[in-house]
Amino acid sequence: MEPSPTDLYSIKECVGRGNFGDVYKAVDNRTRKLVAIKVVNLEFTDEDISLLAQEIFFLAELKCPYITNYLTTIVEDVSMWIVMEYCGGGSCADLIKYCYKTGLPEIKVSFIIKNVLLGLQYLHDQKKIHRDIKAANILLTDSGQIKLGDFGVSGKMTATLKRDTFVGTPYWMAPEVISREINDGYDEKADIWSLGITTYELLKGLPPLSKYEPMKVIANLVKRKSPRLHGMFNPFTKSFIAKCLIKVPQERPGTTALLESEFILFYKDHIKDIKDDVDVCKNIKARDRNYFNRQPKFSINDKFYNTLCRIDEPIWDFNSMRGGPVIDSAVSTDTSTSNHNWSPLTENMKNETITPITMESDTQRSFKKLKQYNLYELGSGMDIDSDKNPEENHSNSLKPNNEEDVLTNLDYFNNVISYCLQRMSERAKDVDTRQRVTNLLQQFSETESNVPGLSEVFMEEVMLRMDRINTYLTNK
Amino acid sequence: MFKKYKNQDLDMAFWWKKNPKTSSDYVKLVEEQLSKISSSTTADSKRKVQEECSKYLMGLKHFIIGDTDPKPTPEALDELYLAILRADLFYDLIIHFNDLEFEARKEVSLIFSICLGYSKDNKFVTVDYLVSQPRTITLMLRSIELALQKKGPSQDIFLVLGNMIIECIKYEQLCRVVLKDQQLWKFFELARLPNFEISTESLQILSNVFTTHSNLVSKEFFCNEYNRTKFIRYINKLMAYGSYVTKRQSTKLLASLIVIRSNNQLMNQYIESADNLKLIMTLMTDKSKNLQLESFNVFKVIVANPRKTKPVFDILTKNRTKLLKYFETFGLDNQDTTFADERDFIIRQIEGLPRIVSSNEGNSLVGNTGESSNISTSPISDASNGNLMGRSNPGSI
Repeated sequence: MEPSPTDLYSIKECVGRGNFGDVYKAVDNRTRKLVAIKVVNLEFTDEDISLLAQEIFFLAELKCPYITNYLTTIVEDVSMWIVMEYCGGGSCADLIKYCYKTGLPEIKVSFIIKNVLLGLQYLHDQKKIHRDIKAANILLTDSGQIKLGDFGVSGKMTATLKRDTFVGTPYWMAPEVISREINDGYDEKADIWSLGITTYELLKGLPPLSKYEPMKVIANLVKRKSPRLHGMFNPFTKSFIAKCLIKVPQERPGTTALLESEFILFYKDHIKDIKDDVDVCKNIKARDRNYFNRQPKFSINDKFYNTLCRIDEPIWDFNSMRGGPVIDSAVSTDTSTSNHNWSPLTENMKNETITPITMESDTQRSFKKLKQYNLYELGSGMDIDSDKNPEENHSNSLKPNNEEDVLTNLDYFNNVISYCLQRMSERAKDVDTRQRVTNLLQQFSETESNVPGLSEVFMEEVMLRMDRINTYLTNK
Repeated sequence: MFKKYKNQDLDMAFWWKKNPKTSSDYVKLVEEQLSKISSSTTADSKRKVQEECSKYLMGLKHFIIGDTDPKPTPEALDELYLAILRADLFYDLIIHFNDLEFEARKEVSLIFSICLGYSKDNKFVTVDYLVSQPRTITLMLRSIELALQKKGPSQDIFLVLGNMIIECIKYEQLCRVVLKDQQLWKFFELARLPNFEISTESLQILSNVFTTHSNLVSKEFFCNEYNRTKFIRYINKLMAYGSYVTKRQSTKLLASLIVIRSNNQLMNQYIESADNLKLIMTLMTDKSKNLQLESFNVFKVIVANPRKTKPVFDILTKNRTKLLKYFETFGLDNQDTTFADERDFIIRQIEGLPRIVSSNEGNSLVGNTGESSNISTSPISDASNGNLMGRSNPGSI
């Protein structure tokens, strides 16, 4: 069995949240290295799992110093943990936001773009496309090196014209991406266009046409002339952008040609990193409270399958069926490894495969299933001893036809609060916790006897709230 | 300035100029290096051979995608493709896959998929060759499993070989070769491994194999009872014991297969079994809404079947009240109208089941006779439209 990701990685703070999931800074417990972990909750994402997987396989094929490296993926509960190399310096968009509001000097832009070109060269050589080049996706390491980041995961590598991907970054899109069917008519030259826009963005602080509505920009992009860089810049810088923004993709130069352009060669080896800027940026960011304290969309500790608040669902009645094992019992040997993925009902089915169902075991089974309600029905609230002789209640075991009756006349204190607290006490890892849980139950019991119906109202409120939260989460 | 990664600044121009021979020479050069890999004794000499190999493969790729100056002539390309096949280059490359460098393996994969797509006189030359010499595909299917048993970059090798297999499956003739190979069943086992990449890639391969060419699959694979029975047993295992992801993906695969009209033999065999129904009903009560929905897509076919077997009918009847209770809340937030129609239809079917378990024959008791007789004529064809409700319930909504 694979170790749990929570053992492998120590999660630090949440450093970003997106539609696709939250991003955490974490430490790899084996290497002590920093990593970035994107946690995608598969149960609440609309993304198709096989598409996400394809994006991950795409990432797994990239090993290049100019690209944030993919390390591994682990599935925990219903979440996918995509572990990537950590870039502690933020992105070039941060650099603009915190240090260079009106744009970076040409020498630094040349350095950044050269590194991006090297990353793109690696990608394009394998006939792969990034599809979302922009300052925000150019990441910086703590030592001020440049890495191309944010591949896939957000749905860009297998891009379809989904609303969020489309509206997300229209200013950087190449005309052929907009005018033609995706995956049909465009190739790696689309990245070159976006690179031209990004160069402009780095020099001016904003992409061209950013004062207009994104959708309008898209609508006009195909018709209008390419944007041009104006102002006090070197001619070779202007010409670099102009070359990237040639509208006919076939005429647009590739990475190798651009790496030999004057804009890159002129400043070649002038700077080796932009660590100073990264440090300044970090300092300002540290003062900006909003930047840290990011709240993840999903708490990393909330386990979908392990939570106790489980809505009562019909427990099917397969008893009288003569049916044999559901699946070869041979495989049931390894089921313990994926225990958290079992719904309690599957457990029941497992038992079936072992015990041949006779009339006797039939009643035994239904007794077991209803035990949780039965056990406390007659007892007091304090009666949480699970060893209480079950035989006593055996004759009272509920018949399926009055089961509904029991549920509507549910004793909320005995059947819910007391039951849950008992389970919690069973789950308690140490004596102290157990004692506290017992105290809590005592407290509840007293309050309930003073304020009859309190448990019911309490549960009602909890359920209403959970419903609201669930609706919110599923609609989100 | 920066640490360079391997091969990055490799000056190919120099190499090409020095080697202006015929295009088939590139194949010869790769083959030469491959034969040296096994015989090289020291780590140092081996690394050197590996680097040479990567270099030639990279050159081969640039040539084959026309990324050279001047571009290769069509004649030179034809010659190259033929040379690759004549030398059985892919077979030799896969034999030595473990010895190749990370980037080199990716070059092989890319060259392979380009070769598959190469056609001359309306014939896929490479595909035809691989069909006549199936040992390459056989080797691929064996190696992908063996990769996991070896130390070293097993996962990388698995993924690259997996991609090559997926490329093969795109071509019907090669998909047939894969379907005939008993090694295919291995992927059901691999799909249950805890490693995310390996299990997901295995599921992807299975999914592509069974859904890309549905006619081929139904006529030549599911027509065979042995295959059907084994498939059902294996996919049930995935659905019951897989991880969260495996459960969802395998249930989805099953649901997509049994609604395909030509797979009616598979569908019939699946929906007549009470055990299968139990499994599906159990999945319907899983906490995951997605899994509930996928299993409903199987459940609906079972319920819509007008000729339910007695055990299936009994289970449904016995759980009539519980099922109705279940459907009170099931999928209420789903906006899809087709889904809502199907759901309503299924609810009415269940309502039509007898209230009290009796010894009566199944079909005579399915209520709402108008509807059920209507659907009974062709539950399969309705299902295959992806719209179970379509014609059988004009009055719904």
